Amino acid sequence: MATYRLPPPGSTSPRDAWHAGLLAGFGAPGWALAASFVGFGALSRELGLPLPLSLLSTVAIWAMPGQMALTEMQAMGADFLAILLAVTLVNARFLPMTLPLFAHLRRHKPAGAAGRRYRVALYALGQFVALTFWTGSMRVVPTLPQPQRLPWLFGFGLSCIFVSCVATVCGFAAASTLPVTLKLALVFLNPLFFLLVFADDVKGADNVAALLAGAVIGLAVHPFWPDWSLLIGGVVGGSIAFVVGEKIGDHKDKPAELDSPEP
Amino acid sequence: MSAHDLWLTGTILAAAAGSYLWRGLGVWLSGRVTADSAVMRWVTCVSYAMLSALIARMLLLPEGPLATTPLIDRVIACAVGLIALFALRRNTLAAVIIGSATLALLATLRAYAVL
Repeated sequence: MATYRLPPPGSTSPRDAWHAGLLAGFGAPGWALAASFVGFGALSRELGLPLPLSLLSTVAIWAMPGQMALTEMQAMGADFLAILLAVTLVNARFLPMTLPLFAHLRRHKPAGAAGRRYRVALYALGQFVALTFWTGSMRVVPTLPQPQRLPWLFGFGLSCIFVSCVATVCGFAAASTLPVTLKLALVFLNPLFFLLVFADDVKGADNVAALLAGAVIGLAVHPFWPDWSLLIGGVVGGSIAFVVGEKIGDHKDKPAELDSPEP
Repeated sequence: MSAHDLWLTGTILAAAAGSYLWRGLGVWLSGRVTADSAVMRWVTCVSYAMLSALIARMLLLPEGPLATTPLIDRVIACAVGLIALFALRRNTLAAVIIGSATLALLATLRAYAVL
């Protein structure tokens, strides 16, 4: 069973891509999201974050580690600036994530008013970037023809957020009735999903090396600088993997982009 | 809406703006860096390494409820999930449910002092 729903083979229709994207969010990635947002909804209630604000954080921040930090810090009475810095810092990973994904979309350069609309759409699409969306999109987008990319991404992003909002409400409502072991399984499900997705299918020796180096360095650094372990693991581990990949020259063997850059 | 809720709303919106800053900057820079360049390959490696560090931390050095489970239980549950993934012809959904159920089962067994 494919992890991500794709448009029918041979189709180049944007409408097919939009539908496939919407359905993709209700597939395996949606279940993984739902599990972790049920956990988040339950946590919000236990830590005194009202449901509307819990939902607002899901829609507006749209990043689980940042939302967890905010929910825990407000319960501990942290001040505005401390929360803002913590969330902004933990989400710095969105910069290196957004860049390569959107580079696939920048190959398309419509002229004039259509170009302006396209650029506005790209900035709107940026809000969806988060672990689940990015992992799925990096896998799917290079395989889609240009006219299907944006519709698929918008469908996938919207259905991911929809599923997460429904799950947040369910978790909030069921907070006091969920057994402890079920809560454990729900919180565990999300990181396990990504472990499996990465184990299943990541292209290129450099990216595989990045996964290994990032995990090892991140864990090694964590006891000393917990706030910086992601950034250090990412930059140091990623750079080592990049050098290894360039030495092997593996990127030359990667499948070429489906359609060539436009003139 | 109480004053505290209003303060929380402002904090959430500010944190959302702080998060979008990185996303928007990424969208902007993506128009200025060549797609197949060495810089882009490096940035992709950094992303994968950062996500891997995040996932490793969530699984092996978690905060919150998972911190109450022993490390060995989480490692066993991950191993069962990985074995299930390849045994079930790469069905991610089934494998992730089996892996999580393993953790719940181990926690239940410990709660009843079987383990």
